[in-house]
Amino acid sequence: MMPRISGPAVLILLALAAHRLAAQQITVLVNPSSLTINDDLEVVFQLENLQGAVPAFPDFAGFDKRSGPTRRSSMKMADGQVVNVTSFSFILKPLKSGKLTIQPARVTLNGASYATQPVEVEVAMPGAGGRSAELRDLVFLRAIPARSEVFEGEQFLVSYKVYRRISTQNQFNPLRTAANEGFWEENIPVRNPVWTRERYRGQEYETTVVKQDALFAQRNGQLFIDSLILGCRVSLPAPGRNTNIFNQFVPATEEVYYTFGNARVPIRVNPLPAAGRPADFSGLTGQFAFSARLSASEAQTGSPIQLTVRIEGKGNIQKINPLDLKLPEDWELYDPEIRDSISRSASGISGWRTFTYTLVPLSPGEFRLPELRFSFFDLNARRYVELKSNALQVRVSGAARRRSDTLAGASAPRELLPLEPGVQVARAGYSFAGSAGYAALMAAPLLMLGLLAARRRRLDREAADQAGTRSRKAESAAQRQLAAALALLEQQRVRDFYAEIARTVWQYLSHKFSLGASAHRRELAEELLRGRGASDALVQQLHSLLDACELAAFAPVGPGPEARSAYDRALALITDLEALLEPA
Amino acid sequence: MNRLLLAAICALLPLTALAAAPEDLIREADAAYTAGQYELALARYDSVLRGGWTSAGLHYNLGNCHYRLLHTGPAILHYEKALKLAPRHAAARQNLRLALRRVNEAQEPVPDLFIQAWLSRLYLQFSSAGWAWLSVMLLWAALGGGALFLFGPAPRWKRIGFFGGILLLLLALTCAGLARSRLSDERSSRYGIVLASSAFLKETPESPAPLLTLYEGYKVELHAYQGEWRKVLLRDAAHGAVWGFVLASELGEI
Repeated sequence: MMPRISGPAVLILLALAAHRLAAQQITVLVNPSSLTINDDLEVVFQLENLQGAVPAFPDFAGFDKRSGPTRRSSMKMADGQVVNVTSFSFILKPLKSGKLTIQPARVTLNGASYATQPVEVEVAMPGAGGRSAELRDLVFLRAIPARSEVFEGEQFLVSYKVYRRISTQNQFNPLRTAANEGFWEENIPVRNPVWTRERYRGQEYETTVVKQDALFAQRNGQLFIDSLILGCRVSLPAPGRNTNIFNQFVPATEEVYYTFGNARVPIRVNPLPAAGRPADFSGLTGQFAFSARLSASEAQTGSPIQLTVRIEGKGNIQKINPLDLKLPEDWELYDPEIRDSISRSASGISGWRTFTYTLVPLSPGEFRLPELRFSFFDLNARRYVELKSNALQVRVSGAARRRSDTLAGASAPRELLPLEPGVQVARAGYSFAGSAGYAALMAAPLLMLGLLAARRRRLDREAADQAGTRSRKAESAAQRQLAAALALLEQQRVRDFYAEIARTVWQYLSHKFSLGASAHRRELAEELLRGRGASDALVQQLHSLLDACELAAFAPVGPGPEARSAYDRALALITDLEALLEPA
Repeated sequence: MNRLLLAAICALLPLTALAAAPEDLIREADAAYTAGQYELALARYDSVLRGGWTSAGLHYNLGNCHYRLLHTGPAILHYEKALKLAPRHAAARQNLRLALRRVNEAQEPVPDLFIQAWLSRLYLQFSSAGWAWLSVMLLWAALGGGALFLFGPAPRWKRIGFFGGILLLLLALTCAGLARSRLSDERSSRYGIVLASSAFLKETPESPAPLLTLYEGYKVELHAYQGEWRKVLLRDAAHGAVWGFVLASELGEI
């Protein structure tokens, strides 16, 4: 017998059923379901009527999470019922090819728990298709670490090298960069990749380095250099296409897009030895030098001085932390300013880092700051090295000051640099660059250069004038000298007389031609005279006079008419030469 | 005669008063600042400034007073003024950074191109006076080269003097040019700092709605004066370059 149910009761039951039917559930949607390693995968977890619940998401093994979860809420009508939909979406990137599984997401609300089904996704390598196997030995990538066993924190280079035996594009698209877990890496730019020949496993290959990294192991144990995945177009001989009579001798080729990656390379990372480890070990390995310097050896109380610490070397410079400074108690210390210069080259990472601390001494006196220490592990010597700074000394003068600028309390900045006491001021609007003094200082050297140039010119002119004057006065000087020679003759000093005549002639000539004393040479004189148009007779006249003078120097002659005629000839010669050289 | 004397005294009196004042005022202000009376210190430094005196240090101290009084906009303005007069004032730069940290996280500076940043850093390395002194020194050194050329003992020395002199002369002229350019920068206000806690940036003075809201401490390029409005260019990483108008009363000019 059917139970009798009243009309309103039916309605209530229906409503309850409907409410229960507006099911609470969680579902997963993936889009697309098959993809290549280059594509993004969208995964959406949809919660229906589970308001306020947040699911526990799977860890997406085999994928790299690009974004998410992104939450969206909406309402929809389904079978006349309001359904509250909350969705959480993720964008994922596959890390490897093959079948990957999205594990279930679980959610619990009011004691009931719900889960999605696991979903399989097919991730393919793009391009190549069926020919990948054939290409494996023709184009491949190797990661070549410089060392396979390193110390914690030690830097070593890894080169990613492409090997090929068929023609490929020279540009390789990095489809996925290596995620080297446990390493800190610095990229070293590779300029102009060059292809070289190399034998590898009995085969000749063309190779080039496409990427180079300096790696620093961050923890010890067995670590791996991860796969870098590259893609490029390659040309393969096309199978069974060589049927056309016209291209029978030209092998037909087929272009395919091929992706390939290197095998993971294990790296053994040894811990640094515990023996001899300094208490304040910085954790750095490599080779470093260290210096510390104060900006001044004398300071005033209340005015800042700088302490610059410089660490230079090869290794993980960007990991260097500020050193611990121990200062006299009543000094103020501000956070250091950090500067770097890092060079990344094929020999690794090297460079320097400086820390500039601002110190404000507040009490006067002679201070010797405790020496600074910096320690690192020297990889060459395989031991810890502790460096100490040189002694830092400073004499502080002035009255003791209190910490006026360092207010207690969190709101007060502890770094505001103090006042500049007793500042100098200048008239507003005055600027040296716009002043008359500047104009004068700039004009003066130009003016002086003008004066110097004028002086140089006057000196040159005077030098020229001197030569001219000597030339003009040559004849009268010669006349005077000949008169003196005649006087010698009258005193019966015949030899001196001839010598004087010769000297007169030479002096006259050297004044005319600005000949030096060393240039008393007849040939030169003759040449110069002929150059000025002297006749043979005149040159002969000169020679015979000089001959007579020279003869008289060796063979004594009497003060007879012969000597007198020498005087007359000399006088005539000078007159003739003057007529030739200084035409009126 | 008496009246003339009186007039002369009246004319000279304010000058002598100003000439005597600044050192005393600064001493008073320093003492007030040290004692924590920042308002008094501010008033004293300000009266020095109003008396027609200036220096990087004075603006730096004014910046510190404003900073202490939590007037962050004016503090930024004065640190910027200090840096305009002395580009290498390290303390002003440090405190400016501190003041900026207090207000405008939102305005990210636009990164300069590498070369541009390098050149402008070189240019800003010296004030106009610095470049001027450098040009004077180079010009005198060039004179030395000229003297060597004119009176050098040997042709080799003359040659060195000639080419060295020309090189130094060119460098001196370059520095003089930079000094001139710095001078015109220093004499004009090229930037403004928003002093009001917020200010509207409008497309035209008449626009009813603002393009953007600027906050205290924002730095804008000043481009034109238009009554009580200033035409400005805002550059930041979030908005790129935005032209607009800001009320002059809400801006302080560097």
